[in-house]
Amino acid sequence: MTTQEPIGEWFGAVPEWRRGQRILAAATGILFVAFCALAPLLWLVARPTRMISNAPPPRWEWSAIQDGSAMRALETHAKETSWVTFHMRGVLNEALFRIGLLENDQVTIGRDGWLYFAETLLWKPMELAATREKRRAVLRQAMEATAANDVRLLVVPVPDRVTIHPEHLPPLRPADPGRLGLYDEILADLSAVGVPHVDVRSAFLAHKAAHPDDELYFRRDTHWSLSGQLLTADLVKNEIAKRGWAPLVPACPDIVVEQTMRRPMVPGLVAMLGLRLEVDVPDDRGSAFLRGLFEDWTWRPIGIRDPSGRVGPIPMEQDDAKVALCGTSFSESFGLQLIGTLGARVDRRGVSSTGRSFGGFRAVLRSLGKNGFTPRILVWEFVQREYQADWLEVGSLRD
Amino acid sequence: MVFTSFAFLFLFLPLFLAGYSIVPAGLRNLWLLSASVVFYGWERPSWVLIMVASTLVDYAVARLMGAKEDGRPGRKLLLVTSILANMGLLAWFKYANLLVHTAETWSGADLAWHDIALPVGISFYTFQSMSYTIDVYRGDVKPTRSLVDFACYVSMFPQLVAGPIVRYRDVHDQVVRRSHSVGLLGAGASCFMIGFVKKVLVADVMAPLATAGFALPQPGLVESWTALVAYSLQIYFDFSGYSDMAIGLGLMLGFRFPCNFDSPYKSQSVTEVWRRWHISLSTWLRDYLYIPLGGNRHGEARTYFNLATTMLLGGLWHGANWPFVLWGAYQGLWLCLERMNGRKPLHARLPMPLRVLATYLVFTFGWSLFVARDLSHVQTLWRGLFGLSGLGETLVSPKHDTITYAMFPLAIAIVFFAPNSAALMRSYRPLVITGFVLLFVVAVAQMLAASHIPFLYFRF
Repeated sequence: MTTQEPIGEWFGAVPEWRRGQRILAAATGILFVAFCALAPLLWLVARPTRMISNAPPPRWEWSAIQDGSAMRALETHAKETSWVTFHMRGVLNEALFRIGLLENDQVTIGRDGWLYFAETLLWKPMELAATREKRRAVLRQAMEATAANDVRLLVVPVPDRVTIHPEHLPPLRPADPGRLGLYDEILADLSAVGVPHVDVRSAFLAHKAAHPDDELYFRRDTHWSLSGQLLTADLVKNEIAKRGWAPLVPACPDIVVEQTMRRPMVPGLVAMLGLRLEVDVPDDRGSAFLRGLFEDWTWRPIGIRDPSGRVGPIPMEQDDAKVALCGTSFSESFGLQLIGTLGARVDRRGVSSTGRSFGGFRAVLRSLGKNGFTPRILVWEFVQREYQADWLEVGSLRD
Repeated sequence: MVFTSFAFLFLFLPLFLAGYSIVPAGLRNLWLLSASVVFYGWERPSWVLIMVASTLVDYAVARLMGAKEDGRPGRKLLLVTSILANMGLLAWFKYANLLVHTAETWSGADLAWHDIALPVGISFYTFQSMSYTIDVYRGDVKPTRSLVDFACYVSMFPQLVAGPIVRYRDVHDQVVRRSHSVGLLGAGASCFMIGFVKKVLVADVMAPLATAGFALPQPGLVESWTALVAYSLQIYFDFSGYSDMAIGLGLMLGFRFPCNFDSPYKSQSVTEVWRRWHISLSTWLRDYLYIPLGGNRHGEARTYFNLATTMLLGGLWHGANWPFVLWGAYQGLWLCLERMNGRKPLHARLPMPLRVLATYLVFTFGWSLFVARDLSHVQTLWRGLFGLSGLGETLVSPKHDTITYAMFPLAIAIVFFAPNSAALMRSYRPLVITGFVLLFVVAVAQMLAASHIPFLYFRF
């Protein structure tokens, strides 16, 4: 091998490079090869990263190889488990975030340390108008299905954070007024069909005006805070009382509400920014910059005392509960607070972080009447943004 | 597989280079061929069969031609066989959909046709393979005995899917015997990095702006021109960046591919643009279409006809779409007008900077035909470009607003005032090269962070 190779005709009448240029070229070549070899070498010595964007390895089936999906899956899997991706993407995104230029498809960077789920800024008036009758038919179907089993339905539509807090959006991305009014569309549908419901938005806006320091949502996570959950649980309790359903909810003296606790958590929207953050990262890990993006997660542990007097966790499935809750990831922590607020057992088999608007509802419908599961009230939570997604496509509540 | 992907940069390339450096010299072409097949068949293994068919036909045709003496009638028949086979592949995979849909539109009948997927790079490797048989027929090059060498030439992954279109007569010596060195590796790596930066940090950043503008139902004057200029920047940095990467990879392996771009937007006439834009295609069309048609040897009228026909077919080569044909006609018209004007642009009296600007605007206006989905989209774009849909608003791209708008004037400045890749490589200044190495690292990080935007020329 020699570094005195002429560079060739491609460069036309190229004067011979000087010695310094040849040395520079050789160094650049070695550096380039070493850089490209970095990922395969790291695979040999380091465990794969665990990022939120991790994708499973490909299934090596002939059909998947033929249509290219196997190779695409391999590419994504290799890319998302590589330390090269983890560090290079992370460092770039952190730098862009610091200077206010980071943006990705899923997250919109707001002001005052707020992040917004990009989907909550979408506005689809045409599709909404076109599917109004279909959505109302689904609500009617829900009413009929629950009434047929002697179950009272109570709907809890959770407003998107942008509906309550549009003031933290970036200046170039003001919320569309129509999008902010999406909640009205939900309330109109519920009223038109006569579905019992609570107006969470009004309660949240009133609370925000009265207690501006008590935030009902996390700043960098799509979900609601303990305050938001408790306020909604109170709304549900009041609505049950107002409708005269309280006698249907027997109190459970064994429920124990403990002291409020708090610990730092990695907010979901931060995890979606492509920073140097592995999933299930311990609280004390990560750089000071990353820890600065963590949120204080406050929760109120709620348990149940067994006959021996020991307090343990409350099972999700409570066949003898007279209140059932179904819903999205918002209900995962809200469910416990509802138990604490009602002081009654609440079945939570219909709480599904992946089931979106209808998965949990369908799970409850399937279980009605089985193993003595006969709830009298079904609380159905869904999030506002899905009114422009799942609700545009659903044809029937049946599977 | 694309060059600006994790799979290529961190899987394919290091493994390929490692193998290439350890296999004996006599097996390097076989290794390169094998790697090229993997590269090409990565997403659609069945497409390799089409390339194999084209390669085998042209290899056999050339061998048979070589066995016959010059002037024997069988040679012409063999050449026709090669051209029909390659053009048949192109016609079936590229133009069948257009013909059927046009027939459906005219007749009103539903022919229950299922669209055929276009194999990536078919336009490039069929032209490349066909030029070999034409050159053998003309006696410009001797047919190779080695199928591996020929298949290696056709399928070579650095320039397989988007050029530059390399002719066998230019590289056959290198296919058989070429030298390697750390210096060449470094020169190739530098060139690759320059192209990578152009694609990821400029072309891809311009893309959302162009896409947003062309997606508007009624773009106004400002929106149309913003989108069109953004597209002119995107396609230049995209395609010239890809060519730089191909040339750089070739250099790493000891090949010298032809230069494909020479600052085309600095041209002072459309004729000059075509000498500096996609040079390997324009010279291919000149040598294998325009000159065989008669070139300028049969009078003025025939010359204009040849020029227009060449550009029309050049437009059709880019895609099976009527706007592409119109784009070819538009370019042909300008070439004819400039020829009528004594080979000078119509705006020849303008001072030099304005001549360059006017040429850029004329050429860029043509992109409105190139980018249009169909003829009604052409109408929409032209209404916007001529201000018939109002002034419009400032075009807001759906993402990367700040970076895109910062890059917009910077990219224009680079196009008109900065030296091109070849000049950068000729001067090879330490500071500039170091700067590009650093930008390359940023571009790789950006590639890993951004969603994938495929090369524009992959669809041709």
